[in-house]
Amino acid sequence: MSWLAVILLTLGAAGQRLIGMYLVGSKLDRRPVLRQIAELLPVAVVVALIAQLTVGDGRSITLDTRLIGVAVAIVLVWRRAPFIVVVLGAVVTTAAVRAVI
Amino acid sequence: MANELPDDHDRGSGDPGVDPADPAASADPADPVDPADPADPSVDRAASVDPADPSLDPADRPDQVPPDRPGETPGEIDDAGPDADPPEPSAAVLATLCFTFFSVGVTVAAALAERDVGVLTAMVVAVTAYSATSELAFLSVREAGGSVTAAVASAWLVATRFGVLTATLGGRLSGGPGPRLLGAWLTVDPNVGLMIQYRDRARARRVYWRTTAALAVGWIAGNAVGITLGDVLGDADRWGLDVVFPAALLATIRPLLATQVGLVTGVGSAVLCVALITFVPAGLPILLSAFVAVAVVLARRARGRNRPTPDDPGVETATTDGHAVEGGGR
Repeated sequence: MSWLAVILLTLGAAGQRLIGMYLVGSKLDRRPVLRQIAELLPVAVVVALIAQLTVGDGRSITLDTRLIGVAVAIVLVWRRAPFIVVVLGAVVTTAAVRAVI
Repeated sequence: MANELPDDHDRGSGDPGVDPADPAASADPADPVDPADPADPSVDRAASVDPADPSLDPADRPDQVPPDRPGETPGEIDDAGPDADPPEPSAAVLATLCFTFFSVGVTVAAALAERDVGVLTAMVVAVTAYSATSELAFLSVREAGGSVTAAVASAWLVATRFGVLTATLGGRLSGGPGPRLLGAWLTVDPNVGLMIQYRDRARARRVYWRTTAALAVGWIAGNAVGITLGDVLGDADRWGLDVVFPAALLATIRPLLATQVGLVTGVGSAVLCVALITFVPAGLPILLSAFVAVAVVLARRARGRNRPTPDDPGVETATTDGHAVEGGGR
């Protein structure tokens, strides 16, 4: 992560916060469509990231032990496990399967 | 988020969001997640509320009036007596929030250290961007072979929820220009999700700052520990660390996926992304998946328009209560 990336990430996160606070404010209430899209964008992008990280391998699809780890994470998240349990559960399971195979 | 849909109304009928006994319950809305916002998931847990609970995502039903808050509109916030407010978050709730953000901080910073990112860089971006989801999105796209441009674009997309959160916060956070600026900067899903439950201004402000402090301390401390820890982890893949990102991202957006519209969007996005992987350059499937969110919103609105419902989309007064989008926080 370069300093340029740091600046750009800051512009994106902090910048959108400032825009919301000082420029948008209550105007957002009159634009329900924009609000709904802004709220759903993160879900769409994050799930796509998860999919890419789970089965992607550059520009091809590879099904391997990552699937098992992510499946464990899905179950743990569904069971409302704490953040740290979800992450460790996925990592430990994947490592264990790799050690055995 | 299409409040005009009947199913949303049904869900709203049981709204326990303001259960005085469970202050953390409504924190979920905040969850709506910054995937980076680790805090959201924690809030949920703290409240141990049914994920399907409508109270968790008020944003979904901006124009819907919870049964227990008749007639509430943004302008009437001050009119309501503080007696209607839930109890303020206990020390246990604050500690849980703090620990969750600590965990997320450790995870993100360890991932940065693993990629030879310096201590200074990691700590600076943790403070200035203050968004675990943005950092994870950036790293994930780079990991997948995407360009820096694609990585930055995905980080910006996951941060859109912050604008919604601060727009909501703006009308409620009283105080001078300094505190407001700091409040906007440190906005994540859980702190806004919690504070919007309090109609008494002074109490809302107090809840906001206490929650914000707990989250900030956890996040910064977690980053400091993680950046140190990362160096000693060694061969990442062998240890299964390549599943840290997907697992962490999933845990942070859990609250967002708990809503019907969130789940539909998520599943559609995953399918589209996988379908595109082999056909378009790396990083692009992730950006193109953003259109799923747009399509879902437009489709739901179109459906709502064709159906006669009491609340016409045109009159959505949208109390800003809802909004909680990403769970990831920051």
